[in-house]
Amino acid sequence: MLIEEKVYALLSANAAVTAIVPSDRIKVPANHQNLERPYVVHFPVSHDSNYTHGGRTALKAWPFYQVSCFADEYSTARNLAVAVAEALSGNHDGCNFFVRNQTAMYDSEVNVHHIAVDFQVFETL
Amino acid sequence: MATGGQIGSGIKAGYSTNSGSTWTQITAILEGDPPQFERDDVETTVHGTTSVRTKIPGLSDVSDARLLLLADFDRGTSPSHLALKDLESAQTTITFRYEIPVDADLSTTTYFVYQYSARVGSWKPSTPIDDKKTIEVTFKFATGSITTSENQASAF
Repeated sequence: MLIEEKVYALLSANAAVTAIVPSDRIKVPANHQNLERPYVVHFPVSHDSNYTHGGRTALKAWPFYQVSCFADEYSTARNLAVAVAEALSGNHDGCNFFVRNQTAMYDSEVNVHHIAVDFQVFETL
Repeated sequence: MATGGQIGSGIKAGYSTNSGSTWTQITAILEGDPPQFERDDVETTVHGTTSVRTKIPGLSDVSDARLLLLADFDRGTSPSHLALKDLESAQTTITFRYEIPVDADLSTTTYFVYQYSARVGSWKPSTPIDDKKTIEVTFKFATGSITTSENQASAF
C-alpha cells in the first residue's frame, strides 16, 4: 500500500472529515480547478529512506506530507483542517503521523481559502 | 580495489559464546566503530647536551567497540538485540567479531576482521518520540589479544 492510499483510507473513513468534504473530493495532485469546493489534496513532499548496514529498512520516513484543505469560506477550510489533523494524528496500524505545521492562504482572484496541514510520517506499509 | 574511495556500508558483527564454534549475527546495524588502539609514550630523556625528549612505546589502551542498532525488542524477529542485554547483565565473556567489507558492494565475500574476547559494556535503548528506536551497545576488550585478519570470509 502506498502512503497516499493509506491517507485516503484514513480520511475517507473519518466521519468528521466526510461531514465536511465527501470522500470523492479527497484527491492526490491533478488539475482540480473545476472541482466543487470544499476539497482536499494530499501528497508526500519529501521522503527519507532508512538504511542499516544490511540494506534498506522497512521503516520509511516522510518528513513532509502535505494535506491541503480548500474551501470557499475560511471557517470551512479551518474546520476541515482541524478534522484532518484529528483524523491522521497518532498511530494507525504502524503508520505514525505528527502534525508539524499549518499554513493559511487566500487567493483573492478565485476566492479560495487554502489551509495546508503538514505532517511528519513514519510507516512500514 | 578502493583507490577511488568507498562508503562504509556493509559491516557485519556478531558474537560467539563457545569460542567461535557457532556465531550469532547482530542484525540491523545502523552505525559501527571497531576498537581503536592508543599507545602511551614512556619518556626516556636523560640529562645531556641535546634539547629533545626521547620516548619508548608504552602500554596501549583499547577503546570500546560500538554498535548502534535499529532496535527490535522482539526475540522472535531479532534475537540478538535482547540477547545482548542478557550478556550485559551476566557480564559473560564472549568472542566478539567485527567484519569490515573489503569492497563496498553488499555482495562482497571478503572482510577485514577484528576478533577478540570481550564483554558487553553497555546496552542503551533510545526511544525518541519522532524518530526510530535504537540500541547502542559497547563491547569492552576482556582478555588475551585482539587479532586482525585480512581477506577473510564472513563468519555469519
